[in-house]
Amino acid sequence: MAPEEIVAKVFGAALSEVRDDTSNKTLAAWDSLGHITLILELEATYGISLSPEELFAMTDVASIKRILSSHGVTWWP
Amino acid sequence: MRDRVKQETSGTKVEVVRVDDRHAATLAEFIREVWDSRATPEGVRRARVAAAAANPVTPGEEIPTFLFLANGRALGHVTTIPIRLWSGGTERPAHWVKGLWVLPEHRNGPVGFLLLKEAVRHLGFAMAMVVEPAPRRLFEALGFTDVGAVPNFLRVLRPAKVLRELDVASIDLARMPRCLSLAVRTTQWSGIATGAVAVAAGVTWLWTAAAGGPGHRFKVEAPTGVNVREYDDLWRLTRTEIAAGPVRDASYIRRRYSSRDEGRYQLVTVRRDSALVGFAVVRQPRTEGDPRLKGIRVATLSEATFPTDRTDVGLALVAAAEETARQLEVDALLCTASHRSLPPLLRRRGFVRLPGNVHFLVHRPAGECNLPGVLADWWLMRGDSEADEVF
Repeated sequence: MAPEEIVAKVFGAALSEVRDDTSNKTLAAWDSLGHITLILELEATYGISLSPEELFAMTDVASIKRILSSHGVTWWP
Repeated sequence: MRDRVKQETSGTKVEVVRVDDRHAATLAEFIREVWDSRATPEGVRRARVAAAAANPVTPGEEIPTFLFLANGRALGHVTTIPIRLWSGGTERPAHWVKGLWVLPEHRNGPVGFLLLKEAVRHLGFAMAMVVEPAPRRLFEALGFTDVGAVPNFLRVLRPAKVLRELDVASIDLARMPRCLSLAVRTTQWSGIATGAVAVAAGVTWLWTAAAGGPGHRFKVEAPTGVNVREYDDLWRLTRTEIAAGPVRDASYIRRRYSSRDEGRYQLVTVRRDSALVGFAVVRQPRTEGDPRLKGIRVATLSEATFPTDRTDVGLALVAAAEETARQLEVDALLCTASHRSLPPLLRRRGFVRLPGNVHFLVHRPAGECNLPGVLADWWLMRGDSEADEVF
């Protein structure tokens, strides 16, 4: 599953609306609790554990992808 | 790749710290940014030393306060109020969680969650009074149970002024009791407040006098001090009828209400045959109140303690609090109260029930005893968690 799909699922957004620049400033449903839900979903889906620094930095789709890649996560675009 | 990303994210070092003396300057800076432009590191140190000395949970230990730091700058804050909690027939340490604040530009991230998570890890039994839905969800995600919204009760002391000035547009009339919303509308539409309301006030007074007057058996006083033995005795008597609630003994009353807020709190006692049988605390309204109140002055019944099976004492105590509020020249008296014994008594004194907006949430550590899940089993009032400071 691509990160965009997880973001769309967690925040109830249309997949077509989720792009690299989608962030906690552009999605109304992306609030503090939504952020934690997203993190838990990412960790469960890819079997990784994210550090507080990474949690803090994951504020848009592009940074989520960058950090996932650094964990060796791959996905079909 | 991993190293490069690590550098990108670790370019911002984030951590949640429990505040100690080393963080005084950072905490002062956060307070200046959010609450009080006059805060200084030295002032913060002094306040924390004083709070540590009065800490009822672990005397002498600093009050648990937490900061979320990013490269040393505080982006979020949460603190606590240590108390003793009465529950299951015993007194145990607990904390009110208070002052959760995240800088606006970081609100949709993990700051609040990580702060609360760290606080909960340190605290044991923890409780919170929360209004807004977003932080309520955050608390619940961390294992807090939302026990419910604590009901409000309002006693209008100057009906004409209150009904004339109430901001109908910003206060949700649909949520008000029908009789009160009708009175507000009638008064504001017709502009004949004085006559109609005077009749209403007369009826309220007669009803109050017939149903729940203070009687002549009790002596009402407004003392300036707290006699430790008397208050402790009364608390021991009262707690047997309460399933759970903050301990309201002499040391709590002194710590919570003495020398606070420039004498804004007025203690009221009810005695029978010279013995203390009940006490209440009335808070004067702030000069600059809620703008929706349009100058209506609302005092708060922050505290009331009496044996719950003694309706006569309760009625006398509430009547004494009303009289204190009148002397403060306020327009209304607000009481927020959870316990089942209070609503009937407040109704008899002419209080109108309003929807509660402050939710009570509680967190029980794993392996510890259960706490009541029914709000009416708890003895909670507006002064708890310093929730009366908004008025």
